[in-house]
Amino acid sequence: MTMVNDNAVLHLENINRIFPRDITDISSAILKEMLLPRSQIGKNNLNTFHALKDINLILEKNQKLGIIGSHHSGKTMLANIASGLLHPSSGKVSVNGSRLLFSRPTAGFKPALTVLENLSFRASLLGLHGIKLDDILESTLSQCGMSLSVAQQPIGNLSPYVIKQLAFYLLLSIETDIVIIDELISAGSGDIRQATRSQLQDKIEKCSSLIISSDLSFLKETTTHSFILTAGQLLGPYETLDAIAGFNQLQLSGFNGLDEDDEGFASQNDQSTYVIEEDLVDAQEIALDDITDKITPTKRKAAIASARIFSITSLEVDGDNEYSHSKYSLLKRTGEFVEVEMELIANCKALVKGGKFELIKGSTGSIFAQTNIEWPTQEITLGANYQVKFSFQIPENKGDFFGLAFTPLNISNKPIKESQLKILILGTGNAKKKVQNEISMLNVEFNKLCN
Amino acid sequence: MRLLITTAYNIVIRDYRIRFRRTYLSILWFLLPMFMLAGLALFIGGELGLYSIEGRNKYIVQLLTGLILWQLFADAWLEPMRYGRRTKTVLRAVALDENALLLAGAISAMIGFIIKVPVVLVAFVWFDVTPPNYNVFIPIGMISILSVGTALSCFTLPISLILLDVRYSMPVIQFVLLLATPIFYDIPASGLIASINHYNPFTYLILPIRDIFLNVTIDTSLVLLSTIIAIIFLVIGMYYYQAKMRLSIAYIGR
Repeated sequence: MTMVNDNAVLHLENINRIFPRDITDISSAILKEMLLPRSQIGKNNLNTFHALKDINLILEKNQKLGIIGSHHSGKTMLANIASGLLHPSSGKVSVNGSRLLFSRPTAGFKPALTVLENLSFRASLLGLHGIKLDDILESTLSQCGMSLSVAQQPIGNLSPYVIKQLAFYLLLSIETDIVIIDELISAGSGDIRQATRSQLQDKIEKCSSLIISSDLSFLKETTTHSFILTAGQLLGPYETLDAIAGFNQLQLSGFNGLDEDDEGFASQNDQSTYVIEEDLVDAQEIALDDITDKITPTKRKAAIASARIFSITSLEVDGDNEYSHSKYSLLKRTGEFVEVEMELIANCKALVKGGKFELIKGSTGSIFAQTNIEWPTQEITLGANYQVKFSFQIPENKGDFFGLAFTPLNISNKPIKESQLKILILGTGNAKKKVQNEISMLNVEFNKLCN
Repeated sequence: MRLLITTAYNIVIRDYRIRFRRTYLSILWFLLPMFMLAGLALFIGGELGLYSIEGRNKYIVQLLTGLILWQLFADAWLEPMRYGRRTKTVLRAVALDENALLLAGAISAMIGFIIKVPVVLVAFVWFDVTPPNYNVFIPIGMISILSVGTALSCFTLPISLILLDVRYSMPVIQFVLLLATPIFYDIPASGLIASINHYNPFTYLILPIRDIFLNVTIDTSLVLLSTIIAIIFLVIGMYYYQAKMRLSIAYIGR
């Protein structure tokens, strides 16, 4: 296999992995992936999101690279594609050597089968057979201090710690050129956990390694350079200490990458939850200084304070308080009412007499429907919490992806500049009618919450 | 290749251990469904006049032979899907050769067939029907049956991992195809059933091989042609399977 340079053992080139945005679309997404050619599958549209986006990574021989990412950033997907477990929607993976993925060590273990049968099965899947398999099984059992008679009992009789420890030792015994670790850095409990961790470090020392871990101390001990993976996008590589510092800064600022659906709001002079400019999407060319400089908490607070009266602290849609407008869309709910509760925090003092609700087209950013709701004038206090509740009927809008935004109104009933908040993302669904130019809102309330 | 065969074999053995370890009847479960079906067909067939009293023995042997060949095809189609379901967690953890699932299915289908053949041969002797002579078209025909079953599995296995519709519909589809194939009955001279039999490709897959077992003279070029078509179908299926399987696995657990 031709690699980008002679020293490279693993090369991920323009890797993308796309999934449907709405979980109810998974059946049709699967059908499309099964029926259409690959060139059609990799195409992004507003109904999909990138689990991985434009990933480029080169691992050289004997190099140890780290990847740091928060929950749901795409770490496991990256590990799976790098190890050959999964194919990307588009892009190419080139490898020179054998790969071993450290993940889900007990996958395939059946409680009714014996320890030996389970280990033997897993080992055979990893390419072991014959005398070599027997030797490794014997070594695995002896490292766990397990006798043959116990190993011939059903594995369901053992504790989960011991089972995981056995599986971990088995993985450690497998010879390989490239090790890809997906969060699995130790097994067992107490001292055994430390022992397994050390043995894994020894193994990493001998191989080219890609280590995906949220254990930052482990990354410091084993890698010299690391990437930051955020919302499917890879930033770096940086020296590991710098990467860790950058990652921590990103966590503090709540940066989640540039969401694709934000493009629809871009023309609205978007001042979304984070103040990252668009050029930061191009991960490979960004110096870490640029990121930390642009997203320090002080600057962020200043930016928000000058631009916007409120920030959303929580958003509940039909009782689901994990709704995030950048992650979920309400695609199949045209005509239905949804109950929305927003909790807001005030960034400055102001007088608010109502709110303007707007429907904005995703592709152009143009407003196609709006309504003003008035309530008794409220004096907004800096740092106080407020709540906006309403029932909203999802309109029909053929052929576009659109969103609902809220802007507070001043005492002259004019929208307060640069205070627009994005609330919901709505999709096309099966709507047949043309766009409705009105918004149906019911039971709108604006209340101050006790702190 | 050695790793592929070893992996497939281990998948089969592991499955048999799980399936039969805690049963009383063990591998008899390979035979019982077929004999129960044959017994039912014998009873109903007698009532419906599918065979005469004089032809009863020949009907039993013909039925059993047809059923084991059908079961070979059905297992070659369904077993890979079953192994895919059983190894879902492994597919998300180990980058094993996905062809191992197809090969495991074919191995399991052959094992089931080999267990049934002696029983059917005993039936030949018991019911005083001339047992088959060795004929080179018997293994060729079996390759054809295995190829078609495996090819169908290539198209249905990736999607069956995720969409339960495929899994739920399989028993119905299999049953309809079984009834549409003249195994329980002879092809009528005319009528709707005759047309269905004529246009059903599985008629040409199963019946020639069954007739070889029964020492009936057949057009061997038909067997060769169906084998060539089956192998081409399998190659196309494998190409699709290689392209789609690792995309499908990404949806497991999603």
